[in-house]
Amino acid sequence: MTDRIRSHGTGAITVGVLVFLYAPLMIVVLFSFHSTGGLSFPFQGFSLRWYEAVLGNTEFRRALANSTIVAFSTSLATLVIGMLASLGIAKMHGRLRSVIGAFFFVPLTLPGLFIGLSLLVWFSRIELPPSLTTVTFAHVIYVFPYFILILLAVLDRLDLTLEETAADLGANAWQVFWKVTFPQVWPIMIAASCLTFALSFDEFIITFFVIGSESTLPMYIWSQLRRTVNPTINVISTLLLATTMLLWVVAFVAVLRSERRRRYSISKGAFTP
Amino acid sequence: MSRISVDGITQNFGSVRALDDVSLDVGDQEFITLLGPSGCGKTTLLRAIAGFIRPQSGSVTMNSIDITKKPAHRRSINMVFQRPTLFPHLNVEGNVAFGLKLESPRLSRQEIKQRVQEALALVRLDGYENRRAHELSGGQMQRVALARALVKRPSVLLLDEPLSALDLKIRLEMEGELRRVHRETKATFIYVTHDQREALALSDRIAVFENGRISQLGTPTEIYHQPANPFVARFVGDSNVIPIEIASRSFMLGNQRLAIDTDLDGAAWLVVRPEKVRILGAGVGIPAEVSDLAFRGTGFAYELRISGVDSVVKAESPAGGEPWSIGSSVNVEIEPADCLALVRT
Amino acid sequence: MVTVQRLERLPLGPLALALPAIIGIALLFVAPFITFVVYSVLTAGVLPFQADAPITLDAYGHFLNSGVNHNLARNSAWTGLFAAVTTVAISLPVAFWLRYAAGSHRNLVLLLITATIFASYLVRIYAWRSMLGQNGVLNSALISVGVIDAPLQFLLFNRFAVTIALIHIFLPYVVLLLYAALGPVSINLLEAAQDLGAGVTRRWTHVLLPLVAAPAATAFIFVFILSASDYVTPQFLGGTKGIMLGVRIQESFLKTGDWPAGAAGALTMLVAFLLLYLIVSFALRLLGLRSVRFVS
Repeated sequence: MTDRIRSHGTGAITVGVLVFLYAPLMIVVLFSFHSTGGLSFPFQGFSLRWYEAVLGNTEFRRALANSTIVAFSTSLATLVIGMLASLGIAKMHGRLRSVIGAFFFVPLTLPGLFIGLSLLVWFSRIELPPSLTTVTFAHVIYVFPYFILILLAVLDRLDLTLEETAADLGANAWQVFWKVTFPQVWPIMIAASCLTFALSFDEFIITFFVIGSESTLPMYIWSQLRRTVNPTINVISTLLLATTMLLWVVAFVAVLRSERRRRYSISKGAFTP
Repeated sequence: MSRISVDGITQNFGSVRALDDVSLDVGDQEFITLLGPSGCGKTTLLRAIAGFIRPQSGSVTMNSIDITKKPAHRRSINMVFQRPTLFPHLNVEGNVAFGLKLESPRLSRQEIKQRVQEALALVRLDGYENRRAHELSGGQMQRVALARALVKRPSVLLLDEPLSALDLKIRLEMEGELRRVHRETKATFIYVTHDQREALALSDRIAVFENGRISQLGTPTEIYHQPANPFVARFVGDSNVIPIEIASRSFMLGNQRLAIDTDLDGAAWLVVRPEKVRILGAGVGIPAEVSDLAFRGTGFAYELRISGVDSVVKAESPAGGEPWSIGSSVNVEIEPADCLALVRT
Repeated sequence: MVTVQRLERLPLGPLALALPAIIGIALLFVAPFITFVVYSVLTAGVLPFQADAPITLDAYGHFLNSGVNHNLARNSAWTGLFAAVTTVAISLPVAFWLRYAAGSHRNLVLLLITATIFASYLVRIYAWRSMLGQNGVLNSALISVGVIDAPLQFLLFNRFAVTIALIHIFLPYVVLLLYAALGPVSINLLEAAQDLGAGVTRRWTHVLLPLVAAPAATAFIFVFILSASDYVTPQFLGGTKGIMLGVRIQESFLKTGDWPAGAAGALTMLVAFLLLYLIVSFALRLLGLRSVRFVS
C-alpha cells in the first residue's frame, strides 16, 4: 500500500524549478521564430527567415560539419578504448581494480578550465599545433570517465557465468566478447555513445584552449555572442537544443529496450552458439 | 486508562475498499490482535489508529476524546513497524532517546538517560547504548525499536507484524519477550499479524479480518474452537470445512451416517480440526484413501480422500509408529463432540 | 574456480585491455598536468606564450600579492558560495518531492529535469542574457504588462546574473544527486520520526538533513568548484562588477601570454579548492555527519 505523504509545499517548489529551468530555453526557441528578430515582447509574428539565414550561412555550415566530425571521432575513439578498458576493469578485483578505476575517473576531478590550460601548455611543448585533432584528443579525455561510468555499471550487473561457460566450451576471448558479452550490452553502448557524442558536440570550455583556426559549433556561437545582438543565435541555439535533446531520447529508448531485452533473455536463455 | 475504539471506519484506495465500516472497542491494557491474510485491511486500520491515514469516514476515539483529526505526532500512541526503522545516523541510545528529546515540557538530560536505560533493560539490551543499527541482528533491531516506542510510556502501543522479518527461532523467543513486556508496562497492545499461531499465543482477544471487515471477534479459544464462519475456520487452525446436508441431527460422510449436536437443518458446513480426524486400520469407520502425507516433527499430516467429498480431508496423527503410506486404504473416525456445524448459504 | 582461471590465462589479460586507456590518460592528462605545474615555476620568456628556466616562485609571489587578484578571488568565492548554497537549498525540497510525494508523476518530472542537462551550456548563458537585459524579455514583459515603467537595471552585468545562470546550469545535476541520495532513506524512517513526536520541521532537522548531509556536501563542493572556476559566464553576464578569477587566468594564457602567471594562478585556485574539500570533510566528521551506513 503506497501512502503518498503530504508534500508540504515541496510540490510547489518543484513546479517553480521546472519553470525556472525551461523558461529561458523556451523563450530562445520562441524568439527563433520571431519575424522582426527582436528579443523583447510584444511578440510580432512568426517567420522562418532566420532559419533560412542560418542554414544558408557557410561559416555556420562549416562549424556544424566540424562539430559533427569531432563528435563522431570522439565517440568512436571513446567507444573502442572505453570498451576495452571497461572489459578490463570488470575482470579485475581488489586493489588493482580500485587503483586503475580511480585512475580512469581522475579527469572528472579537474574542472574544464584546468584541463584546457594543461592541454594548451602540453600541446605547445610537444609542438603539436592546435587543430581539430587536438580538440578531439581533448574531448576524448573529457568524455572518457562518463563512458566508463555507464559501462562499468552495466558490466558489473552481467552474469559472469555466461562468459565462463563460453570460455569453458572453447571460445577464445574475442569470441566470448562477440557472442556473449556484446549481445547483452550493445544497447547501453549505443546510449553511452549518444551521451559522449552530445557531450563532445556541445563542449566549449576545454575546446576554447586547444582549437586552431577551424571552428566548432560552440565556438561559432561564442563568436556570434560577442557581437551585438543577433537573432540568428536563437536559431542556432534552438537547433543545438533539438539535437542534443534528441540524442538523449535515443539513448533513453536504447536503455529501455536493453532492460526489456535483458528480462526476455533471462527467461528464454541467452547463449546462442 | 487507555481505552481506544474505532467506529465506522471506511477507507478506499482507488477502487479497492480496504476497510468497510469497521468498528472495534479495545479494552484497557488489553493485548488484541488484528489477524488476517495480506490485503485484508488490518494494517490500514492500524495506520488509521496511529494517525498516518485520515479515514474517509468514521472516527477514532481514545479515552472518550475524538482523535481522528489529530496528526500522528500528537497522539500518545506509538508504533513498532514491520521492518526495523532505526535511524542509521544515531546509535542505540540516540534512537531510544529520540522521542524523549521531543517531549514538552523538556526533560532533563539525566532523566532522559535514566529512562533510556530502563527501556533498554526492559528489552534486555543493557549495555548496547553505543552500537549502531548495522551492528545489530534483526531481532536486536526490533527490540531497540520496541524500546524506542515504549520509552515514551504510551498508553497504546501498535505493532505492525514486527516479527515477520525474523527467523522462526528468534520469533518464538520474541513472542515470549512481547508478552512479558506487555505485562510489565501495562499498556494496551494492538498487534497485527497474518500468523494465526502467533495470534493465538499472544492475544487476549483476536479480531479476524476478511476483505476489510471483521469476520469474528473473540478470545483465542473462542476463535479456535467456535469459528463463526468458514473463513475463520479455515484460517485459524486450518480446519476441514466440508459441505454436508443435516437431517434430524445427523449427516452422511462417505458411507456412514454420523450424529451431530446442532439445531441447524439442511445445507451446512461441517467444521472439524485435522487433529480430531482419527485414522485407524481396517474395521469400523469411514473408508478413506491416503493421497498425501508430510512429516511435521510432532506428528504426521495426512491428506485423505473420502468418497462423496470433493476436497481433501486433512488429518493429523501423533508421531510414533509407522505412518500410513500414500495409496493405502484406511478408516476414519470422528467424534460427534468434535464436529461443529455452520450455516451454509 | 577453474573456469575463471581459464579466462585469465587467455592471451588478452585485463590489464592489457585497459592499457590503451591508461596510456591515453597518461599522455593526455597526467603529462599535461605535470607540465602545467612545471610552468608555474618557470620565468616568463621575452616573447609571449613562452617560458623557460630559471626556476622561480616569482609567478606565485606576483599572483598572491596582486590586489586585483584579491578582488577577483573574493568575487569568485562569493559567486561560488551563493551558487552552491542556493542550488543545494532549492534541490533538497525537489528531491524530497520526487522521492516521497511524487506518486505517478515522478518519472515524468525526472524526465523533464534530466532533459535540461542536455541543454547546451552556451545556449543557457545566451538565454539568460536575453532574459535579463534592459531590452530583454523579462523587462519588456513586465513593461508591457504594466508592472514597471522603466527597465530594471540591476538584473544584468553583475554577480547576480552570473549566479543565476550558474544555478540554472547545475540545478538538474544536484537534484539528481540528492534524489539518488534519498533512495535508501525509507519512508518508514520519516513515519517513525513522526510517530515519536516529530513534526515537519523536526523531521527535516533531525532525520532527513543528517542523512543527506554527506551527499549534500559533495554537491556543494561540486557546484562551488565549477562555479568559481567558470570563465565564460562572467564574461557574458558579469560586466565589470561580476568578473571572476577564471577570466583573468584564461587571459594570461591566451591574450597576454604570461604562462607562468596564469599557471601559478590556476594552481593556487586548485590548492584553494583542495583546502575547501578538506575543511568540509573535517566539518562533517566533527558534526558526526559523515557517510551513513544504511541497513536494508
